[in-house]
Amino acid sequence: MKVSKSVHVEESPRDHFLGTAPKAGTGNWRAMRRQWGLWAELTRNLAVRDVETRYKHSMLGLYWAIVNPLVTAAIFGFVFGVIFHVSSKIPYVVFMLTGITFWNFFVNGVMSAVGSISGNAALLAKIYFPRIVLPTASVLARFIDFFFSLLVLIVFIFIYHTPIYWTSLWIPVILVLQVFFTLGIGYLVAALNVLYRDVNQLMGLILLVWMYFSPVMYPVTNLKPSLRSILLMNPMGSLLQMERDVIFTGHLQYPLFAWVALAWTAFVFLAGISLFRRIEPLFAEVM
Amino acid sequence: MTDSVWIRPETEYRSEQYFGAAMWSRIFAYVAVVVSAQILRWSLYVSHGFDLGFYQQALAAWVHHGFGAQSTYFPGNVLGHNGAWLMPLIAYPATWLGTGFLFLMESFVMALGYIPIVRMARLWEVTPNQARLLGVFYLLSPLLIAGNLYDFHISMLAAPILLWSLASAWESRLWPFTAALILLTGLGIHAVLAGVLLAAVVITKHGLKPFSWLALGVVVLWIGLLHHFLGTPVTAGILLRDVGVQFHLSARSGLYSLWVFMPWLLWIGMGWRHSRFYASPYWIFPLLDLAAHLLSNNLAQTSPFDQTSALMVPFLLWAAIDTARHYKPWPRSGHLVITVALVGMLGVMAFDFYHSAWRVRPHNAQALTMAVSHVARHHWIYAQNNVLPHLGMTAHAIPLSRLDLRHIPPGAEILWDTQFEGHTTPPAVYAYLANLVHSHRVKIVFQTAGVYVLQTP
Repeated sequence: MKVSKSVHVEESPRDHFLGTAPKAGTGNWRAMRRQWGLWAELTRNLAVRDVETRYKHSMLGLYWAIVNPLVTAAIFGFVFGVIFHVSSKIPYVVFMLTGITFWNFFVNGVMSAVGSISGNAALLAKIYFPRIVLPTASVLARFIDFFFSLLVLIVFIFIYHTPIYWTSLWIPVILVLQVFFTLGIGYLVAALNVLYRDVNQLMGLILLVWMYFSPVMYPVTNLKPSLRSILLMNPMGSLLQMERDVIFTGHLQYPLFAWVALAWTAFVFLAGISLFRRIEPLFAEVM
Repeated sequence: MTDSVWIRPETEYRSEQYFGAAMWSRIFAYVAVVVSAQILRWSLYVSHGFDLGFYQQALAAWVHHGFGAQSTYFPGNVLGHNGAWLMPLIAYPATWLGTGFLFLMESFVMALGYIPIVRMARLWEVTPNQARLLGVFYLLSPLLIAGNLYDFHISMLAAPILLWSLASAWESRLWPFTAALILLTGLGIHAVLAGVLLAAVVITKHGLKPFSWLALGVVVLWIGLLHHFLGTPVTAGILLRDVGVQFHLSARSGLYSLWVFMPWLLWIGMGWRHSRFYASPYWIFPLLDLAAHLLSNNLAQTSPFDQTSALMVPFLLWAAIDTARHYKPWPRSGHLVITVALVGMLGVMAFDFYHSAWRVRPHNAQALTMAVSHVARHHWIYAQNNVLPHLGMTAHAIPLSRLDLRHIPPGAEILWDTQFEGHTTPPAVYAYLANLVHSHRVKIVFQTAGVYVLQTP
């Protein structure tokens, strides 16, 4: 029986390049910072690899990031704007595209995170690094698609002469909340998908239902207060409403629900990390 | 066969790597659920002016009229009403960030009480599972959640601070203890009175040393200042001024009171199971608190879901932790019983949300929202208890119950929902308004679905 080891067994795991973090409270802040720097670099590299492999052998390449939101907006715009006559204060196509752009960033992030652990079994078997880096990189890689979708949205805003406000500068702040929320859900589903592969299929369904319970395609302003409150209790619903408000109305129409979104985002992010941490030791056994 | 070179992480370091995410996720679970419920209640016009509205008005009054501002809710100085000197400090951020900030701050500070419970439990070598359960017991205590859900109360923030100071006193850490005690004096008269109990705890633990003298001195000095300079009714919060013992009986109060007695039941149950009884000396403090609570001459304070009940919880838990360490470990069935009780209480609270004896949900929330948008904020506005919190951070809001029929300021607006009858507004006021609507003495600014906005000439 041949036994090969690329790392000496005597070597402490903590001395290894991407080993566990130095213990907090020991005063070793410089080492901790270095370690976090290395993990951040690994996350960035994995995110870049993710984008490259996705578009490498396709004919349209990165243009797919533009085609997808355009087709979706065209279909939904026709169905809800032309057939069902859903009205909004701004041109319905712009209203719709805004919702779709931010919603897709969430959906794509979650769906990429689902298979991020189970799809990298070979990498996990080779070297230790914090496994949480994988779903993080998957979610962050979706920024490229989001960026192109945002460009499409800006073009449509100009085509339809829709007035926008300076408060749009708040978008990055709201987006940070959305990223943390997406990461939280991403950690949950990535860890659970290692144990139960049904999670991948299930998430597709859940996200579809979730979309209809979020104000992606319809405005909440005309709804009954009780129904509107329930829809805005959904953190994604509240985040989407805030994103539209800062761009098109110049103020938050339902500021109280921003606090709900903040509270749920903090909880989902921490619960995601917590569950991931619990399941992480099982990854090696299950895969 | 080739062995994997996968390097197993040192599991003891994983906690540091994830910066205690499990504990913080529990804390934020509480914050998320409670803030959502608070805002849902607010949006359905269930929040009350005498709770949330009073604090909104007080904060706005300080920003616009300085610390000597008079209250439009109660006669007299705003600060003197409850003696909470921390309130003016949050006036500016609250008026800028809005009502949601008050909700989030209250829930987050309350949830932080979980940390000292786990710390105390760890210090007393209670098993991690028990510590977690006691922490959840604290978070789900109906006494806390009822006070927290019922809008906003500055005195609620005293519960976690009491827990922090108890933990500091037990660890003999003077400065954190003193800081916690000073903070406690800023949260209203009931918190200061709880501080007296805390000083008693310190004396129990350390004897009459400078440490204890300092604690006692801080509390007594502040009570003296409140009584003599701000006119706060200090003694009204204690007990038995006219020996008027009143019990508020209902299924709800029964269930909530059960929660108060549950730690004692737990103690008896554990003693029974282990065939030995350990009487923790710390039960005396919640007993004193319970006596002050039940024998108060103030009807609101005798109800088990009043915000002052929340101050009993830290003392109850302290005794419960002390008991737990003498009966370790608990059997699995004990854990199960407590978990079922916790889930059951959540059910009771959810039920209470829809069928509250004290809070009636108005049917025409949409009309009320439209009416509120027709109100001019620079005039004096009279409104019913449940509408007041929707007028935002304004110093001009006055409860309808304080409408002086002989003298209504010119240009004042009255927002009246004819289908809603709050317990706080006298029938004479409603009769007067009904006559006023049919006379030509007022201008009707808005009228939909029985909701009026009237303006005096």
